[in-house]
Amino acid sequence: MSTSEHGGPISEPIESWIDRYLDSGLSQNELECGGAQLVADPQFADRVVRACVFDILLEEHFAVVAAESSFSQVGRSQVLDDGAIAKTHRDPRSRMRRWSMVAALAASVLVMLFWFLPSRGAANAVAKELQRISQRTANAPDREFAIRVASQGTSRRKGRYPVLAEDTRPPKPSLDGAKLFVRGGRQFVLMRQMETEEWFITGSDRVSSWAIRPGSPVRVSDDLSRFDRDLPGHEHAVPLWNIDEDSSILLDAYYLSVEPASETMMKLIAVKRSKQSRGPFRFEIDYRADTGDIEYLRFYDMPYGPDHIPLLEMELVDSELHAPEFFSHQFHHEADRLVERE
Amino acid sequence: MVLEPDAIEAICKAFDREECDTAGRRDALAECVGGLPTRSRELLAMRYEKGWSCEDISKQLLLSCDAVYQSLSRIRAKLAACVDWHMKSAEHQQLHGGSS
Repeated sequence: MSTSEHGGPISEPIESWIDRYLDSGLSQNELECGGAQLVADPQFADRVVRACVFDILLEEHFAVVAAESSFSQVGRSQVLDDGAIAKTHRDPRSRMRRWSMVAALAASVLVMLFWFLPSRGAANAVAKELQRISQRTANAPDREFAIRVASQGTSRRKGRYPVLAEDTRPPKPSLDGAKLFVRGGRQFVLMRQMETEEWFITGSDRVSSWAIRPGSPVRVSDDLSRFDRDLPGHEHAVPLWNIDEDSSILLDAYYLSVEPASETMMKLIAVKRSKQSRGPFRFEIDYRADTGDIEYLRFYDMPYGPDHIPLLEMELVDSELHAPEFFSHQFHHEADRLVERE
Repeated sequence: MVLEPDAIEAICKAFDREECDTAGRRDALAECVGGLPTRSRELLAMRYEKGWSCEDISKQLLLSCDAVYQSLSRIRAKLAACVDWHMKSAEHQQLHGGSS
Protein backbone atom coordinates (compact mmCIF):
# COMPACT_ATOMS: atom_id res chain seq x y z
CA MET A 1 0.00 0.00 0.00
CA SER A 2 1.52 3.26 -1.05
CA THR A 3 -1.03 5.65 0.29
CA SER A 4 -0.88 7.38 3.59
CA GLU A 5 -3.75 7.34 6.04
CA HIS A 6 -7.39 6.74 5.23
CA GLY A 7 -8.70 9.62 3.13
CA GLY A 8 -5.35 11.41 3.16
CA PRO A 9 -3.44 12.48 0.13
CA ILE A 10 -1.80 9.81 -1.97
CA SER A 11 1.89 9.34 -1.45
CA GLU A 12 2.78 7.18 -4.42
CA PRO A 13 3.82 8.78 -7.71
CA ILE A 14 0.82 10.52 -9.21
CA GLU A 15 1.32 8.85 -12.60
CA SER A 16 1.17 5.46 -10.95
CA TRP A 17 -2.04 6.29 -9.10
CA ILE A 18 -3.68 7.61 -12.27
CA ASP A 19 -2.61 4.59 -14.30
CA ARG A 20 -3.96 2.19 -11.73
CA TYR A 21 -7.13 4.24 -11.51
CA LEU A 22 -7.61 3.95 -15.27
CA ASP A 23 -6.99 0.21 -15.14
CA SER A 24 -9.32 -0.33 -12.16
CA GLY A 25 -6.40 -1.37 -9.99
CA LEU A 26 -7.05 0.82 -6.95
CA SER A 27 -8.44 -0.26 -3.62
CA GLN A 28 -11.34 1.63 -2.06
CA ASN A 29 -8.98 3.30 0.36
CA GLU A 30 -6.68 4.38 -2.43
CA LEU A 31 -9.66 5.83 -4.27
CA GLU A 32 -10.62 7.78 -1.17
CA CYS A 33 -7.09 9.10 -0.79
CA GLY A 34 -7.18 10.28 -4.38
CA GLY A 35 -10.49 11.98 -3.70
CA ALA A 36 -8.95 13.97 -0.89
CA GLN A 37 -6.06 14.95 -3.08
CA LEU A 38 -8.37 16.13 -5.82
CA VAL A 39 -9.67 18.72 -3.41
CA ALA A 40 -6.26 19.74 -2.15
CA ASP A 41 -4.34 19.82 -5.38
CA PRO A 42 -5.81 21.42 -8.54
CA GLN A 43 -2.83 20.27 -10.56
CA PHE A 44 -3.61 16.71 -9.60
CA ALA A 45 -7.21 17.20 -10.71
CA ASP A 46 -5.93 18.59 -14.02
CA ARG A 47 -3.78 15.53 -14.57
CA VAL A 48 -6.59 13.13 -13.74
CA VAL A 49 -8.85 14.92 -16.18
CA ARG A 50 -6.23 14.85 -18.95
CA ALA A 51 -5.60 11.16 -18.38
CA CYS A 52 -9.34 10.40 -18.51
CA VAL A 53 -9.74 12.30 -21.76
CA PHE A 54 -6.82 10.40 -23.25
CA ASP A 55 -8.19 7.09 -22.05
CA ILE A 56 -11.53 7.74 -23.70
CA LEU A 57 -9.81 8.73 -26.93
CA LEU A 58 -7.96 5.41 -26.84
CA GLU A 59 -11.18 3.50 -26.31
CA GLU A 60 -12.82 5.33 -29.19
CA HIS A 61 -9.80 4.71 -31.41
CA PHE A 62 -9.87 0.97 -30.87
CA ALA A 63 -13.63 0.81 -31.35
CA VAL A 64 -13.19 2.49 -34.73
CA VAL A 65 -10.31 0.18 -35.64
CA ALA A 66 -12.42 -2.85 -34.76
CA ALA A 67 -15.36 -1.60 -36.81
CA GLU A 68 -13.21 -0.73 -39.82
CA SER A 69 -11.50 -4.08 -39.63
CA SER A 70 -14.86 -5.83 -39.75
CA PHE A 71 -15.89 -3.80 -42.79
CA SER A 72 -12.72 -4.57 -44.70
CA GLN A 73 -13.09 -8.26 -43.90
CA VAL A 74 -16.37 -8.41 -45.75
CA GLY A 75 -15.21 -6.07 -48.49
CA ARG A 76 -17.94 -3.53 -47.92
CA SER A 77 -16.06 -0.59 -46.53
CA GLN A 78 -17.58 1.61 -49.22
CA VAL A 79 -20.89 1.37 -47.40
CA LEU A 80 -19.47 3.73 -44.85
CA ASP A 81 -20.05 6.70 -47.15
CA ASP A 82 -16.50 7.95 -47.31
CA GLY A 83 -15.83 6.80 -43.82
CA ALA A 84 -18.85 7.66 -41.76
CA ILE A 85 -17.03 6.75 -38.61
CA ALA A 86 -13.99 8.81 -39.43
CA LYS A 87 -16.23 11.68 -40.41
CA THR A 88 -18.04 11.69 -37.14
CA HIS A 89 -14.76 11.56 -35.32
CA ARG A 90 -13.44 14.57 -37.17
CA ASP A 91 -16.34 16.86 -36.85
CA PRO A 92 -15.27 20.24 -35.48
CA ARG A 93 -15.70 20.20 -31.75
CA SER A 94 -18.23 22.74 -30.67
CA ARG A 95 -18.26 24.32 -27.29
CA MET A 96 -21.42 22.42 -26.42
CA ARG A 97 -19.72 19.13 -27.19
CA ARG A 98 -16.69 20.08 -25.16
CA TRP A 99 -18.91 20.94 -22.26
CA SER A 100 -20.82 17.73 -22.67
CA MET A 101 -17.68 15.67 -22.76
CA VAL A 102 -16.46 17.53 -19.75
CA ALA A 103 -19.66 16.72 -17.93
CA ALA A 104 -19.49 13.09 -18.99
CA LEU A 105 -15.93 12.76 -17.84
CA ALA A 106 -16.67 14.55 -14.62
CA ALA A 107 -19.52 12.16 -14.05
CA SER A 108 -17.27 9.20 -14.79
CA VAL A 109 -14.60 10.30 -12.38
CA LEU A 110 -17.04 11.14 -9.66
CA VAL A 111 -19.10 8.00 -10.02
CA MET A 112 -16.04 5.82 -9.88
CA LEU A 113 -14.38 7.70 -7.09
CA PHE A 114 -17.28 8.81 -5.01
CA TRP A 115 -20.43 7.08 -6.24
CA PHE A 116 -21.80 10.51 -6.77
CA LEU A 117 -23.02 12.21 -9.89
CA PRO A 118 -22.72 15.95 -10.02
CA SER A 119 -25.31 18.17 -11.63
CA ARG A 120 -23.76 20.66 -14.00
CA GLY A 121 -25.08 22.97 -16.64
CA ALA A 122 -23.59 20.94 -19.45
CA ALA A 123 -25.07 17.68 -18.28
CA ASN A 124 -28.39 19.41 -17.87
CA ALA A 125 -28.17 20.79 -21.40
CA VAL A 126 -27.71 17.30 -22.84
CA ALA A 127 -30.47 15.92 -20.64
CA LYS A 128 -32.78 18.66 -21.89
CA GLU A 129 -31.99 17.79 -25.51
CA LEU A 130 -32.68 14.15 -24.75
CA GLN A 131 -35.96 15.12 -23.18
CA ARG A 132 -36.86 17.26 -26.20
CA ILE A 133 -36.16 14.37 -28.58
CA SER A 134 -38.10 11.90 -26.48
CA GLN A 135 -41.09 14.21 -26.16
CA ARG A 136 -41.10 14.75 -29.88
CA THR A 137 -40.77 11.01 -30.46
CA ALA A 138 -43.73 10.35 -28.20
CA ASN A 139 -45.90 12.84 -30.08
CA ALA A 140 -44.57 12.44 -33.60
CA PRO A 141 -46.71 11.15 -36.47
CA ASP A 142 -46.18 7.64 -37.84
CA ARG A 143 -42.71 7.11 -39.19
CA GLU A 144 -41.01 4.45 -41.27
CA PHE A 145 -37.29 3.76 -41.01
CA ALA A 146 -35.22 1.72 -43.42
CA ILE A 147 -32.59 -0.37 -41.66
CA ARG A 148 -29.26 -1.19 -43.22
CA VAL A 149 -26.56 -3.35 -41.72
CA ALA A 150 -23.29 -2.01 -43.04
CA SER A 151 -21.49 -5.29 -42.45
CA GLN A 152 -22.35 -8.73 -41.22
CA GLY A 153 -22.27 -9.52 -37.54
CA THR A 154 -19.17 -10.87 -35.91
CA SER A 155 -19.10 -13.46 -33.20
CA ARG A 156 -19.22 -12.00 -29.76
CA ARG A 157 -15.68 -11.72 -28.52
CA LYS A 158 -14.79 -13.97 -25.70
CA GLY A 159 -14.30 -12.24 -22.41
CA ARG A 160 -15.77 -8.95 -23.48
CA TYR A 161 -19.21 -9.42 -22.03
CA PRO A 162 -20.72 -11.75 -19.48
CA VAL A 163 -22.28 -14.75 -21.21
CA LEU A 164 -26.07 -14.71 -21.06
CA ALA A 165 -28.67 -17.25 -22.03
CA GLU A 166 -29.55 -15.47 -25.28
CA ASP A 167 -25.96 -15.86 -26.44
CA THR A 168 -26.66 -19.52 -27.06
CA ARG A 169 -29.80 -18.95 -29.09
CA PRO A 170 -29.84 -19.56 -32.87
CA PRO A 171 -29.11 -16.57 -35.11
CA LYS A 172 -31.95 -14.13 -35.59
CA PRO A 173 -33.32 -12.98 -38.96
CA SER A 174 -31.07 -10.31 -40.40
CA LEU A 175 -31.88 -6.69 -39.72
CA ASP A 176 -30.40 -5.74 -43.08
CA GLY A 177 -33.21 -4.48 -45.28
CA ALA A 178 -35.67 -4.52 -42.41
CA LYS A 179 -38.41 -1.91 -42.05
CA LEU A 180 -39.35 -0.31 -38.77
CA PHE A 181 -42.67 1.50 -38.40
CA VAL A 182 -43.13 3.59 -35.29
CA ARG A 183 -46.10 5.40 -33.80
CA GLY A 184 -45.37 7.65 -30.85
CA GLY A 185 -42.77 6.26 -28.56
CA ARG A 186 -44.41 2.94 -27.79
CA GLN A 187 -46.00 1.35 -30.84
CA PHE A 188 -43.89 -0.33 -33.47
CA VAL A 189 -43.86 -2.88 -36.26
CA LEU A 190 -40.51 -4.41 -37.20
CA MET A 191 -40.48 -6.38 -40.47
CA ARG A 192 -37.48 -8.56 -41.23
CA GLN A 193 -37.21 -10.62 -44.37
CA MET A 194 -36.05 -14.18 -43.95
CA GLU A 195 -33.96 -16.19 -46.39
CA THR A 196 -37.19 -17.68 -47.74
CA GLU A 197 -38.23 -14.09 -48.57
CA GLU A 198 -41.10 -14.38 -46.11
CA TRP A 199 -41.45 -11.69 -43.49
CA PHE A 200 -40.86 -12.20 -39.79
CA ILE A 201 -42.88 -9.46 -38.10
CA THR A 202 -42.85 -8.30 -34.50
CA GLY A 203 -44.69 -5.38 -32.98
CA SER A 204 -46.60 -3.75 -30.21
CA ASP A 205 -49.81 -1.69 -30.15
CA ARG A 206 -49.56 -0.59 -26.51
CA VAL A 207 -52.08 -3.28 -25.56
CA SER A 208 -49.97 -6.32 -26.33
CA SER A 209 -46.75 -7.24 -28.03
CA TRP A 210 -46.61 -9.93 -30.66
CA ALA A 211 -44.51 -11.93 -33.11
CA ILE A 212 -45.50 -13.47 -36.43
CA ARG A 213 -42.97 -16.01 -37.63
CA PRO A 214 -43.77 -17.72 -40.95
CA GLY A 215 -45.03 -21.24 -40.45
CA SER A 216 -45.64 -20.80 -36.70
CA PRO A 217 -48.55 -19.68 -34.57
CA VAL A 218 -48.75 -15.97 -33.84
CA ARG A 219 -47.35 -15.28 -30.37
CA VAL A 220 -49.02 -12.58 -28.33
CA SER A 221 -48.05 -11.33 -24.88
CA ASP A 222 -49.40 -8.78 -22.43
CA ASP A 223 -45.80 -7.99 -21.61
CA LEU A 224 -45.20 -5.03 -23.90
CA SER A 225 -41.46 -5.55 -23.86
CA ARG A 226 -41.73 -9.25 -24.74
CA PHE A 227 -40.89 -8.80 -28.42
CA ASP A 228 -39.12 -5.47 -28.53
CA ARG A 229 -35.64 -6.80 -27.96
CA ASP A 230 -34.77 -6.88 -31.64
CA LEU A 231 -35.42 -3.19 -32.06
CA PRO A 232 -32.02 -1.62 -32.60
CA GLY A 233 -30.76 -0.39 -29.29
CA HIS A 234 -33.40 -2.14 -27.26
CA GLU A 235 -31.48 -5.30 -26.62
CA HIS A 236 -30.27 -5.28 -23.06
CA ALA A 237 -32.62 -2.50 -22.05
CA VAL A 238 -31.30 0.49 -23.92
CA PRO A 239 -34.62 2.05 -24.86
CA LEU A 240 -34.50 4.37 -27.82
CA TRP A 241 -38.11 4.35 -28.89
CA ASN A 242 -39.51 4.98 -25.48
CA ILE A 243 -36.77 7.11 -24.01
CA ASP A 244 -39.41 9.28 -22.45
CA GLU A 245 -40.21 6.30 -20.25
CA ASP A 246 -36.82 6.09 -18.65
CA SER A 247 -34.19 8.37 -20.09
CA SER A 248 -32.19 7.83 -16.91
CA ILE A 249 -31.13 4.45 -18.33
CA LEU A 250 -29.42 6.25 -21.17
CA LEU A 251 -27.98 8.90 -18.93
CA ASP A 252 -26.61 6.28 -16.57
CA ALA A 253 -25.22 3.94 -19.21
CA TYR A 254 -23.79 6.40 -21.72
CA TYR A 255 -21.64 9.46 -22.02
CA LEU A 256 -23.84 11.82 -23.97
CA SER A 257 -22.89 14.83 -26.01
CA VAL A 258 -24.70 17.05 -28.47
CA GLU A 259 -23.21 18.99 -31.34
CA PRO A 260 -24.41 20.71 -34.52
CA ALA A 261 -24.33 18.38 -37.54
CA SER A 262 -25.32 21.01 -40.10
CA GLU A 263 -27.27 24.25 -40.24
CA THR A 264 -30.52 22.44 -39.61
CA MET A 265 -29.49 19.22 -37.89
CA MET A 266 -28.10 18.29 -34.50
CA LYS A 267 -26.28 15.13 -33.55
CA LEU A 268 -26.55 13.38 -30.22
CA ILE A 269 -23.59 11.10 -29.61
CA ALA A 270 -23.65 8.42 -26.95
CA VAL A 271 -20.65 6.35 -25.92
CA LYS A 272 -21.06 3.51 -23.46
CA ARG A 273 -19.65 4.18 -20.02
CA SER A 274 -18.73 0.60 -19.21
CA LYS A 275 -17.84 -2.38 -21.33
CA GLN A 276 -19.74 -4.51 -18.89
CA SER A 277 -23.08 -3.01 -19.84
CA ARG A 278 -24.48 -4.67 -22.91
CA GLY A 279 -25.95 -2.05 -25.21
CA PRO A 280 -24.30 -0.76 -28.39
CA PHE A 281 -20.84 0.65 -27.81
CA ARG A 282 -21.80 3.92 -29.42
CA PHE A 283 -24.81 5.35 -31.13
CA GLU A 284 -25.61 8.60 -32.85
CA ILE A 285 -28.95 10.25 -33.42
CA ASP A 286 -29.29 12.92 -36.09
CA TYR A 287 -32.32 15.07 -35.42
CA ARG A 288 -33.80 18.30 -36.65
CA ALA A 289 -32.59 21.22 -34.60
CA ASP A 290 -35.93 23.01 -34.75
CA THR A 291 -38.36 20.17 -34.02
CA GLY A 292 -36.32 17.37 -32.46
CA ASP A 293 -37.52 14.91 -35.14
CA ILE A 294 -35.15 11.97 -35.52
CA GLU A 295 -34.02 11.40 -39.09
CA TYR A 296 -31.02 9.12 -38.86
CA LEU A 297 -29.53 6.73 -36.33
CA ARG A 298 -26.29 4.80 -36.30
CA PHE A 299 -25.37 2.02 -33.91
CA TYR A 300 -21.78 0.91 -33.59
CA ASP A 301 -20.83 -2.50 -32.24
CA MET A 302 -24.39 -3.42 -31.39
CA PRO A 303 -25.30 -6.71 -29.70
CA TYR A 304 -27.79 -8.73 -31.73
CA GLY A 305 -28.44 -12.20 -30.42
CA PRO A 306 -25.15 -14.09 -30.36
CA ASP A 307 -23.53 -11.57 -32.71
CA HIS A 308 -22.28 -8.03 -32.72
CA ILE A 309 -23.21 -5.79 -35.62
CA PRO A 310 -20.30 -3.42 -36.31
CA LEU A 311 -22.49 -0.72 -37.84
CA LEU A 312 -26.24 -0.50 -38.30
CA GLU A 313 -27.90 2.53 -39.83
CA MET A 314 -31.54 3.61 -39.72
CA GLU A 315 -32.91 6.26 -42.02
CA LEU A 316 -36.29 7.94 -41.88
CA VAL A 317 -37.92 7.23 -45.24
CA ASP A 318 -41.58 8.07 -44.69
CA SER A 319 -43.95 9.85 -42.32
CA GLU A 320 -47.20 8.55 -43.77
CA LEU A 321 -50.07 7.94 -41.37
CA HIS A 322 -51.03 4.27 -41.21
CA ALA A 323 -54.38 2.70 -40.42
CA PRO A 324 -55.27 2.82 -36.71
CA GLU A 325 -54.95 -0.97 -36.44
CA PHE A 326 -51.64 -1.16 -38.30
CA PHE A 327 -49.73 -1.78 -35.09
CA SER A 328 -51.96 -4.68 -34.02
CA HIS A 329 -51.01 -8.20 -35.01
CA GLN A 330 -54.35 -8.90 -36.72
CA PHE A 331 -53.45 -6.39 -39.41
CA HIS A 332 -50.51 -8.53 -40.52
CA HIS A 333 -51.93 -12.05 -40.77
CA GLU A 334 -54.97 -13.97 -41.94
CA ALA A 335 -57.96 -13.98 -39.60
CA ASP A 336 -57.85 -17.76 -39.19
CA ARG A 337 -54.21 -17.90 -38.19
CA LEU A 338 -53.56 -19.70 -34.91
CA VAL A 339 -52.72 -17.29 -32.07
CA GLU A 340 -50.97 -18.38 -28.88
CA ARG A 341 -50.97 -16.14 -25.83
CA GLU A 342 -47.93 -16.16 -23.60
CA MET B 1 -19.55 8.15 0.23
CA VAL B 2 -20.36 11.60 -1.07
CA LEU B 3 -17.90 14.13 -2.36
CA GLU B 4 -17.86 17.46 -0.59
CA PRO B 5 -19.13 20.35 -2.73
CA ASP B 6 -15.69 21.95 -2.83
CA ALA B 7 -14.23 18.75 -4.21
CA ILE B 8 -16.89 18.61 -6.92
CA GLU B 9 -16.05 22.18 -7.75
CA ALA B 10 -12.37 21.29 -7.94
CA ILE B 11 -13.04 18.57 -10.51
CA CYS B 12 -15.34 20.76 -12.54
CA LYS B 13 -12.82 23.55 -12.55
CA ALA B 14 -10.20 21.12 -13.79
CA PHE B 15 -12.48 20.16 -16.69
CA ASP B 16 -13.08 23.83 -17.38
CA ARG B 17 -9.35 24.42 -17.52
CA GLU B 18 -8.80 21.52 -19.87
CA GLU B 19 -8.54 23.11 -23.31
CA CYS B 20 -8.19 20.02 -25.40
CA ASP B 21 -8.41 19.91 -29.19
CA THR B 22 -10.17 16.56 -29.17
CA ALA B 23 -10.54 16.23 -32.94
CA GLY B 24 -6.87 16.98 -33.52
CA ARG B 25 -5.80 14.64 -30.77
CA ARG B 26 -7.88 11.80 -32.24
CA ASP B 27 -6.05 12.09 -35.55
CA ALA B 28 -2.69 12.34 -33.85
CA LEU B 29 -3.48 9.37 -31.66
CA ALA B 30 -4.30 7.23 -34.69
CA GLU B 31 -0.90 8.03 -36.17
CA CYS B 32 0.90 7.38 -32.92
CA VAL B 33 -0.81 4.05 -32.31
CA GLY B 34 0.12 3.06 -35.85
CA GLY B 35 3.75 3.71 -35.02
CA LEU B 36 3.80 1.42 -32.00
CA PRO B 37 5.44 -2.00 -32.07
CA THR B 38 2.97 -4.79 -32.82
CA ARG B 39 3.17 -6.22 -29.32
CA SER B 40 2.27 -2.86 -27.79
CA ARG B 41 -0.67 -2.46 -30.14
CA GLU B 42 -1.87 -5.94 -29.24
CA LEU B 43 -1.67 -5.11 -25.57
CA LEU B 44 -3.67 -1.93 -26.08
CA ALA B 45 -6.24 -3.82 -28.15
CA MET B 46 -6.71 -6.31 -25.34
CA ARG B 47 -7.25 -3.50 -22.89
CA TYR B 48 -9.27 -1.04 -24.99
CA GLU B 49 -10.90 -3.06 -27.76
CA LYS B 50 -11.62 -6.31 -25.99
CA GLY B 51 -12.07 -4.66 -22.63
CA TRP B 52 -10.04 -7.24 -20.79
CA SER B 53 -8.99 -6.61 -17.24
CA CYS B 54 -5.32 -6.60 -16.31
CA GLU B 55 -5.89 -10.01 -14.79
CA ASP B 56 -7.28 -11.37 -18.08
CA ILE B 57 -4.36 -9.89 -20.00
CA SER B 58 -1.81 -11.25 -17.57
CA LYS B 59 -3.24 -14.75 -17.99
CA GLN B 60 -3.21 -14.43 -21.75
CA LEU B 61 0.36 -13.16 -21.92
CA LEU B 62 1.67 -15.19 -18.98
CA LEU B 63 2.79 -12.03 -17.19
CA SER B 64 2.17 -10.71 -13.71
CA CYS B 65 -0.58 -8.13 -13.23
CA ASP B 66 2.04 -5.59 -12.18
CA ALA B 67 3.92 -6.16 -15.41
CA VAL B 68 0.74 -5.52 -17.37
CA TYR B 69 0.02 -2.33 -15.41
CA GLN B 70 3.54 -1.11 -16.01
CA SER B 71 3.47 -1.97 -19.69
CA LEU B 72 0.18 -0.20 -20.21
CA SER B 73 1.48 2.76 -18.26
CA ARG B 74 4.63 2.98 -20.39
CA ILE B 75 2.69 2.67 -23.63
CA ARG B 76 0.19 5.34 -22.59
CA ALA B 77 3.00 7.69 -21.58
CA LYS B 78 4.71 7.11 -24.92
CA LEU B 79 1.50 7.73 -26.79
CA ALA B 80 0.71 10.87 -24.80
CA ALA B 81 4.17 12.26 -25.61
CA CYS B 82 3.74 11.35 -29.27
CA VAL B 83 0.32 13.03 -29.44
CA ASP B 84 1.68 16.15 -27.75
CA TRP B 85 4.51 16.24 -30.26
CA HIS B 86 2.06 15.95 -33.16
CA MET B 87 -0.14 18.68 -31.71
CA LYS B 88 2.80 21.02 -31.23
CA SER B 89 4.06 20.28 -34.73
CA ALA B 90 0.64 21.03 -36.18
CA GLU B 91 0.44 24.22 -34.16
CA HIS B 92 3.88 25.27 -35.32
CA GLN B 93 3.01 24.49 -38.91
CA GLN B 94 -0.16 26.53 -38.61
CA LEU B 95 1.73 29.49 -37.19
CA HIS B 96 4.44 29.17 -39.79
CA GLY B 97 1.88 28.95 -42.59
CA GLY B 98 0.06 31.96 -41.24
CA SER B 99 3.15 34.15 -41.13
CA SER B 100 4.42 33.33 -44.62
